[in-house]
Amino acid sequence: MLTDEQYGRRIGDRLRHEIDDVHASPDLVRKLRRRRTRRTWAITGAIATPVAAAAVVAVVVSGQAAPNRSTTAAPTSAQPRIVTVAFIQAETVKALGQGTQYVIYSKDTYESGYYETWTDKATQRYRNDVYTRLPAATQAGRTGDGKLTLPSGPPAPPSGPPHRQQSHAVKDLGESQEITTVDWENNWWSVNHLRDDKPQTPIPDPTDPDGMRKAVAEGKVELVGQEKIGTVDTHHLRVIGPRREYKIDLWVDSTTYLPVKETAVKAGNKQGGDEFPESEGEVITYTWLPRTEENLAKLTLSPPADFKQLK
Amino acid sequence: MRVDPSFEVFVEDSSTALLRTAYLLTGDRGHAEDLLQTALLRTARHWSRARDSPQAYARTVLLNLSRDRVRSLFRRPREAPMPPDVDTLHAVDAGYEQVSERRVVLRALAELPIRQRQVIVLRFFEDMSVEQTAGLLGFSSGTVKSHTSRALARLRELLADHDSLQEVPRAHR
Repeated sequence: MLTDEQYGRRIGDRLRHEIDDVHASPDLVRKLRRRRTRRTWAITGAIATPVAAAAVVAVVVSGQAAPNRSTTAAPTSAQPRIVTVAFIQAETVKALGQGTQYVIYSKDTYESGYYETWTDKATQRYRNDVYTRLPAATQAGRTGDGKLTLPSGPPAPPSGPPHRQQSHAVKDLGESQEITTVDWENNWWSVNHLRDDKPQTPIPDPTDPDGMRKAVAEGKVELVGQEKIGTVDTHHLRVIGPRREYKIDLWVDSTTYLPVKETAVKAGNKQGGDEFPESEGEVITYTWLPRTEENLAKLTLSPPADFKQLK
Repeated sequence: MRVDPSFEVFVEDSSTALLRTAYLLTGDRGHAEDLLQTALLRTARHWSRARDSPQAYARTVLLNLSRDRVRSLFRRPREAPMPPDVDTLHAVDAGYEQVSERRVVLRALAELPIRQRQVIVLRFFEDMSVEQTAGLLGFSSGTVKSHTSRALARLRELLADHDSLQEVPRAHR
């Protein structure tokens, strides 16, 4: 029997052989330059949740009375609440519980289209429908090896009305995810399973109260003002990353403190001489729906009977 | 728009090697390309710091991104294979089977938890020492060794039917 070292070397050799036909795109530099509207998932993933909203709101509540977050006076009926780290943590934990009471509907609009997502935090499921205004033949991210990615900066201006391109339904099965995909343009569907560890990452997990407390403590939060979004009175907040790598504007309902609208902009590089462009902002709106059968049904994705299943 | 010329040289020289590492870490070509682009953008953004050892910098970003991938997927549509022509699905399926058979170790690697996968890739694909791997992943040497041992044991199970991987070299018989 091979020793571990011998076997590992053999595995390495075999892996080199198996992927020796994998080559990077020769025009990668050009692609990097054009990658300008891609969503900053990690950033919005950390913010676009009731948990984040609650944590941020907790700071803003203090900001209204004590912008430096360091008030120590006892509250009276005429004074705003005192905000401490313990307060933020308590609000975060409270919001976590509240988030599971809703089906969260969000609409994320960007240059070439939009997508709608329904999320049920109670069961860790979500479903989304991706709409694009790009003609099928020129969608960004469709590469020669048949892979599809989200639009990442269309090479040509989008045209035409949005049409549904793909839908995805994801179930979190603990250590794996089941992902159902329906492609409406090419009439196929598939079910994939992804196995992986839970991430160990410096980016805060929005479902982790400790992680969110840290994110709010290390970042910068501003209260821009009170604004109306449609008919809803909101607090307009601005969250700036600890290294100024992103800026998020968040409007939270002034009664429920749940987010109503968000825009996120990833900062462009201003150092080192390279000049990749700043990402363009996208707008996300949120609607908090009760967990009725009708709303939970939005999480189900059923492929049409005449679509081809890909293995 | 201007890009530092030395960054362009770095991309041209190193992107294939980094893409292969990303492929092994993710087990998915589309994700690998996505991770590579993200890693290169971050490397470019911090080029003044990264330029002395850009490949190591980009590789570290790739490793971190591969750990972030699961959570990102929960918020984003999953990339999916798309046949160029639905009328040729059978041909596509047949080709896929051939590629899958060829990449049997890659598929087995994708079955491992990400920590174990990272260790295998760095130790035996990148030919790094235990200490180098530990430094890059922020582990102790002992942790790298234990992950390696568990990962190889699992790979032996998964690849038990592939004799060419199990044969003892003649020189050591």
